[in-house]
Amino acid sequence: MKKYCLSICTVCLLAISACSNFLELEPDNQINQNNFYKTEEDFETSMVGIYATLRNLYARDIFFITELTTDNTEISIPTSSLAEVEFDEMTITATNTIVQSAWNSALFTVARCNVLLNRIQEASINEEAKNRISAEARFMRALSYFFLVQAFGNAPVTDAEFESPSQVFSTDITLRPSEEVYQLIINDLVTAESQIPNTLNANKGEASIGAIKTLLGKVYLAHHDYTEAAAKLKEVIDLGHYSLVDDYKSLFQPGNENLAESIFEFKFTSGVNLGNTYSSLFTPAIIGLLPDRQSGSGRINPTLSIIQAYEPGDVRKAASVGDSILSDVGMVYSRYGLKFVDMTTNNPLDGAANFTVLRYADVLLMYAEALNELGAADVFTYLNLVRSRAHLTALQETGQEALRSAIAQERRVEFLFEAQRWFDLKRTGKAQEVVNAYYAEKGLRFSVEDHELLMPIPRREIEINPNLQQNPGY
Amino acid sequence: MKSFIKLKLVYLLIFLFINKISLGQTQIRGRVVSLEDGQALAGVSITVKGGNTSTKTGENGQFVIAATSGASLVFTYVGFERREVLVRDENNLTVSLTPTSQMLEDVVVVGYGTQRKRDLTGSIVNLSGRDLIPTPAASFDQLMQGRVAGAQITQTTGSPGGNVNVVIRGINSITGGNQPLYVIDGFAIGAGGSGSDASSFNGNSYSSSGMANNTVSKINPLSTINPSDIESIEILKDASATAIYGSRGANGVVIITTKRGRKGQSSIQVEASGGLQQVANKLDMMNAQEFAQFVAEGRDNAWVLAGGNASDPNEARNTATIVKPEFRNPSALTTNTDWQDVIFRTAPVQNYLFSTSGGQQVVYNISGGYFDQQGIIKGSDFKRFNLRSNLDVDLTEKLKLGVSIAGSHSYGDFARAEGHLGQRGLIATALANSPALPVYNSDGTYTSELLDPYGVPVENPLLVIDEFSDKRYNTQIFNNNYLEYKINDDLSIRTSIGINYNSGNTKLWKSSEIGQWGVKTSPATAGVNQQTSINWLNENTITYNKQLNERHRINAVAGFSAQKDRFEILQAGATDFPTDYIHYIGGGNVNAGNNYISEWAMLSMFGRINYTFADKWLFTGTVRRDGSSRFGANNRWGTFPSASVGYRLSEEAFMKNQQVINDLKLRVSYGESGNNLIGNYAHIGLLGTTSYVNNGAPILGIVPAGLANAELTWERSQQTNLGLDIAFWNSRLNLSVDLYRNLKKDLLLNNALPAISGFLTATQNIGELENKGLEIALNTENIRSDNFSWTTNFNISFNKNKVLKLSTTGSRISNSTYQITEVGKPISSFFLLNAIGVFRDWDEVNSSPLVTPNTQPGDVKFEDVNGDGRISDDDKTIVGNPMPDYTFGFNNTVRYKNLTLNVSVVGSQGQEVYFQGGEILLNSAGVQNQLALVNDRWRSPEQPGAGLVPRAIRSDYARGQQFSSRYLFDGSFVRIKNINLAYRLPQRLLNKLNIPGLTVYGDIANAFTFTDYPSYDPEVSSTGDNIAASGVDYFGYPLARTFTLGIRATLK
Repeated sequence: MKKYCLSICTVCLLAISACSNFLELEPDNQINQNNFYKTEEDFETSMVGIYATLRNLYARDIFFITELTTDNTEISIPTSSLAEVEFDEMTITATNTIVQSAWNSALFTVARCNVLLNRIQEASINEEAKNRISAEARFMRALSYFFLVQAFGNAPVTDAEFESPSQVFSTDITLRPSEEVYQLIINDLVTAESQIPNTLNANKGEASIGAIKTLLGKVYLAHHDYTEAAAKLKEVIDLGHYSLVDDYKSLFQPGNENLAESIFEFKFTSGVNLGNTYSSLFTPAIIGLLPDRQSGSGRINPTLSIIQAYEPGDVRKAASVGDSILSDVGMVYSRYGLKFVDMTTNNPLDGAANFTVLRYADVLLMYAEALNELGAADVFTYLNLVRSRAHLTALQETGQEALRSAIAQERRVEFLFEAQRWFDLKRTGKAQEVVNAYYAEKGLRFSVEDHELLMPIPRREIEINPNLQQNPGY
Repeated sequence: MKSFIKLKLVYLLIFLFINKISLGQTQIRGRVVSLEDGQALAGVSITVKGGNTSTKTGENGQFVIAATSGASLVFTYVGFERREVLVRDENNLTVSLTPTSQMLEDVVVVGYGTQRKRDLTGSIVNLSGRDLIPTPAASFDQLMQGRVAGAQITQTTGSPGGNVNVVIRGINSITGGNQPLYVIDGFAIGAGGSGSDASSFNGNSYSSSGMANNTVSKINPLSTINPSDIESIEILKDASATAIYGSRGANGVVIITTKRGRKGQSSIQVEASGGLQQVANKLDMMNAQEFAQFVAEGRDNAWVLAGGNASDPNEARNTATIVKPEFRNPSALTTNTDWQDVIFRTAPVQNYLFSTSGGQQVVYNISGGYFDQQGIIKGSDFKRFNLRSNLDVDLTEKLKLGVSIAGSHSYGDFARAEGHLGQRGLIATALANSPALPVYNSDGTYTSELLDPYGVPVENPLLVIDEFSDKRYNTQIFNNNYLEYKINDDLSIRTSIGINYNSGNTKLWKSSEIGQWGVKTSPATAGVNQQTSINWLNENTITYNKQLNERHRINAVAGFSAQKDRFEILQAGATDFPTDYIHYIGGGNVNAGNNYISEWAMLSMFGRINYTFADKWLFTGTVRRDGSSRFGANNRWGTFPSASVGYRLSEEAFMKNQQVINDLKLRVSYGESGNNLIGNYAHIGLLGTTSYVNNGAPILGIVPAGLANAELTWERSQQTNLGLDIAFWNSRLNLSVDLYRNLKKDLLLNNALPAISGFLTATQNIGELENKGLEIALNTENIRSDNFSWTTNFNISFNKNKVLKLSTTGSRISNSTYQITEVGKPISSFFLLNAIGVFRDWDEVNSSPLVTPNTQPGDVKFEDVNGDGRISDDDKTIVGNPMPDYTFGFNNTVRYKNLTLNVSVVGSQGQEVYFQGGEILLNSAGVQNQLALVNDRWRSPEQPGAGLVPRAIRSDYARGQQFSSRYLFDGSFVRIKNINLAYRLPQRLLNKLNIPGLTVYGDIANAFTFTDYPSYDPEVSSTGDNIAASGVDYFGYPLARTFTLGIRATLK
């Protein structure tokens, strides 16, 4: 009997030990990190993932941070969420879900760039591809950090690829001072500039030499390094890759694909769940404007102030804003945006227009700004290039201060709905002055306090890591 | 020695006596059957009352006994009630015995074997016999409700075939599942449950990809089991009982044993029933006059807020504040539609059952059933077909073979019932619709104010019923086979192999007449998916059973098993249908789809030993070692031990001298069991796809989708149980009390990660939580006589849930929009702005913290929790939790002669329910129709109403309409769950008809509910089987009240 039992036990143990890989199962239908990141195509595909990741920021959140906070836009509907209202009234809290979402999109992009940059070093693919793809990833990492440093000031910094939760918690990811973040951005862009082919990439959805130089110029300008900014922006102009398109309106309509003026853009298309929601964001909740009895959400609509900011004869006004809608009850007064609004789709949440992050008009106006700050002479040459495309007369103003105002005014009307206003106001030190004046004029009891020039670090991040320092005042 | 002589003398006397009186006697012949199912009972003791003659029934229940006419025969049999029968000159007497509800000598099924109920040291509830007589509306998990101390059983939807949640001893896990392990005839099938309508349709779900991705099951696999096939249900609650199931035992185990044949003559049972169902209660809504007044008020107030005057004409106003002219004179409105009458109906339900059992060398039990239920919401129905064959064959004296084959096919049309009116949730659409609107236009078409800028922007619910179809099919085939060899009287080995095949099929169609939100129509879409799973299990056990002498008894089992599950899904969606005639994807442009598999595997070794000393001391020890594919390479194997001791005080000499307590047992157990209910590949760093655009066309990119974690392992539950079983007055009163503490460690949490990691969360073994509680079960036989009996079963369970540790002390886990988990509080506590009333006047506004400086009297007043002088999201606080303080069941059975009345009551006290539908029906926005209690809203400082509902205003500027504690309600209830009256035709009549048994019955299910909850039912939950996020009601499918008449017969 004992023998019998013993032999059964032996059989059991043998069976179980023989089956140890019985328990090693991987999903056949899904790639995992052990069998990917090998070929050039693998890295191209993960680069697509990175572009898609940062597109989330530009799909919605950034407009609350850069447009709704300013005198450009306001909420026109009484039922918006508290998180949305906080931008309009400049009472942003650390629990604001839009701030959190923007933070996530930017840092997810950083993390995914880190994975790619770590993996590509060990990959055996050809050197040209390795450099080019690395440069693209560095550009995207820089673009993310540039948003973070402008919006939040300090930011967490790492270039590690994480392979377990315990590694995440043992890595130092406390906030680094904004100066350090700026250096990181500049380093990434300088390295990328040396790695990317020096030719025009017809696909403006990918980072190119022009995009890298333009972003670097923009970063220098924001950092008030005017000499470096001017030099870098001049290099973009001298590349000869870009020019202003004649029809301003065409920049913001479906089909705005790889235009000559576009330097870097995020792509959208309708009908396959890959559209944008700008038609809903920028228009009011009134039937009559959008096709097929659709209406917007009233979330980020133009203010009276921006409508009145256009000079007479400016073609940009009719391309950018409007204020009367033929509704069911007749013509009603209601302000709406037109840029990136898609009048060809019956779903306001599925617009086809691409969003242009960097374009040549920006290069010209930034160059003018840098030159003006350096006290150079031919500032309004570049300013007037932009004005004449808008069918406005050339400006002949002189004097650094007067030109500052002229450039600020030009940027305001040129880049409405292009996620520039709040950062422009911050760069030029005018944010509190301009926005507080706007509130006062409207008789609103809101104001931008000193500490509100930086967004709060999302509460969730501090709850996860109590070593993170909240921005002062929150 | 003395007593031995005494005994001999007695025998002698008896012998003489029998010889003496047997002269004037006749031979009585007859047969004994079970009242419950008409099965012949072998081995029943029969004695002549007052005499000394006795006999036992044979294999077919037959007996012959000598007795004089006029004497009484006494029938006794283990597990059945004693019965006395007066002897007449009958030669074909059929005696039926009633199963007892207190079966102290009974055997209960435990994991991998059985145990005498007397010897139990763990906490196990056994349901069998009377407890399980089914009513047509019930699946077996519904039958368990109110009968199991320690199990909180909730029917989360009234949808036919829908989900039932079973939570044993409190919610145990935040991220992992909370369903117990279900074991059917020894085959561990895993967890049950199904999703809800709201969870199946969310987001952009009417697109072709959304339709293709609608893979949430709506047929609860447990509802496909025919309740009348079930012989017994055992609910294993503490680690002593569940540790034998190791890594899957922590949520408790439910063991279902189906009926097997008994040796003897064959018998046939048939049953048929039919019933009608109706919605148990309708909501009290505003009528047309009240509604018109409310709408006008809401829009006037909004116009005033925008700077106008309430007296301004429509021409001066913006669209949102225009009031229909007829609403200015409500008393002139003639239409008064109750839209609930439009969607609800009185619906029939039918149930037919057939079974036969018997045999000699091959013993069989074969059954079939057909169940057909129409839903109380128009357009919904459910049908189920069942077949089961259980065979046991004695191959030789020592070798036994058994086969179980069971199959079920069920299918139904599911109503698009739950969720927001913008997504055409049917109940929301009906309730929010204007009572001033007729159902039909004069031309017979459906009315709708969807496109009327001044009306209620909802679709006509009848259109939703017509133009949407959701068909689901489920097929299960289960086969389990065993071979058992008896090596000798003590030792036997058994091997089994089984397979469980499950196939689900979903077909969805949305016609072009249905759009979303404010869009009336949109291209038709269709979706289909096919899900199949194959699960095989091999188990090998060796069992040792030995009575060493009078005092020692040993029962031991050891074994090993291997199990693997493969799940595959194939899904597709289509749009751009040229017509609405064809509802199959082939009729349109197929442009969405997916196909994936998911597998798990498990290897286990286990053993248990029971040792009983002198019937006084009882010991049980178990251990299981599990290896699972679900966990990281570093933590793949785990060991789960348990030990328990029982002490039967009533065996002590000092207890023998009293007549009050006949049994008294103390139990103590401690052990560990695990929970492995997470996804199959959570430890692997998976990559996912994300869509981007290139040249105007979609292109897929790859992004990391989850963080690898080689350390990932089981949740480990350390369970302590103290129990007391006590029986008084010859078991007329039985009391069981259990006190427990379950400490859950290594909780699987979706632990929040900093965004720079590239992930929001990773599943990690962090965290601890505790459930402790008290369970009391009391069974009494209040009256016991031949013609009249009354038994009562009462049980009550208290459970306290508390999170002890999360990743950091301050961290919060979000369970739903409304619920969080944090340290020191119960799981899934409601975390909301706390509405503390309505501002009565300006004084109150000016002296209070506000959401916006524009706040006015009549707006909602919130608690400034952080004391910063303003109301923001930072003021959210814990305002309740969905966990009841206690639940109870109270069942009474009264029998008078052949008439039996059974009344069962269940109750649950102290839980909160978030009525998400309140965001529409109580929002006071001046748009959608409201519950009538909104009539009691703030109208002016002089008419402040009840102080709970703010003024009507079509603007949420003061945040009174969004989610807050305004929509959180006490979900306590007491429900008369079932009233069943059965009449068994008299034996004499049946004998004439030659039918062994015939019972007719009437039944009312869900008879009445006492609650303060304002919507249909506090028990429904819109998250289906996601127990950790339960407690939210988004217009759940209401439970029906069902009236049934049925007949049950045993034929020869």
